[in-house]
Amino acid sequence: MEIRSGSRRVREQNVETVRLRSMLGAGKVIYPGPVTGKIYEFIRAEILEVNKDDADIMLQRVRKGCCGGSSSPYFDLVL
Amino acid sequence: MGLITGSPYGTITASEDIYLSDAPYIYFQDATASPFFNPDSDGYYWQLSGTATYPVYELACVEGVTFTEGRTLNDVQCDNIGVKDTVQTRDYVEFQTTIKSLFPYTTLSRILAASPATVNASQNTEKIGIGKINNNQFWHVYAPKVYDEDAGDYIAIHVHKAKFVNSWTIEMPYANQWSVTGLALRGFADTTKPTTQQFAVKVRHDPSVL
Repeated sequence: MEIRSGSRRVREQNVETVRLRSMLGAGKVIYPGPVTGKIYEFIRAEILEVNKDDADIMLQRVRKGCCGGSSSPYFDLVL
Repeated sequence: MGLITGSPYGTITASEDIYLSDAPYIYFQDATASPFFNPDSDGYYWQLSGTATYPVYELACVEGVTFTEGRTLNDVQCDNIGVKDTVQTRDYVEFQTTIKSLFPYTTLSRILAASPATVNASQNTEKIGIGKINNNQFWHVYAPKVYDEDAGDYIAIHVHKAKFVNSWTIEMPYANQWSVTGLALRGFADTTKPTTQQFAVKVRHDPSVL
């Protein structure tokens, strides 16, 4: 779709996003999008709209467990 | 009939030839969250279910784990006879341990009663502040121990409403791993639970025996 921004004609891309939340149990998680470089700021368990290309990579990130414990994901996909 | 060794007559509940060894895993979660079994079919409240809002934290690489309790005891003393009875109340139950794994800080901040962590992946940092203690923060504690991995037999201790109470010490010895000592998770009475399980629940699962 085309929108006007002042006198400039701008083509807005349909950016596909998905909803993620942090699973780290931290007060705040600041995370740069691996593809877009956009900085996402997750406050506790709040849900953020994340670029799908970023999300595909972010969802693969896990924190390895210790002493027989299981690994834990950084982020969770919210449907 | 009684044996020559002196066993009594009548009904005897014999002890089992099963022995536990090694420490349990220890997990904790904000006590605001509901336990996974809330309650189970027998009316017991136990187990954790981590969520993004209430994640479950692991106390990893533990050493010297003990589970104990605190009681107040007052003797009923008659000055003409002596102690006729002891009135006692359970004040708390308590896990005490040392941990060797200090990371991540998201977990350590909870253990040290520090501020919630800020993880900054742009700067590759994780930060916590050590300030005032939040006395309104309570935790569920869940400590399972599998004692027969082939059969899946396990025991678990679930404490409803606990808090890290002791002053901690981070030991930094030469040529040895760091550790956090002095940790105590004290479980207080959770008055929302039935009186018989206000402090904790102990569970055993063993299909071959039970």
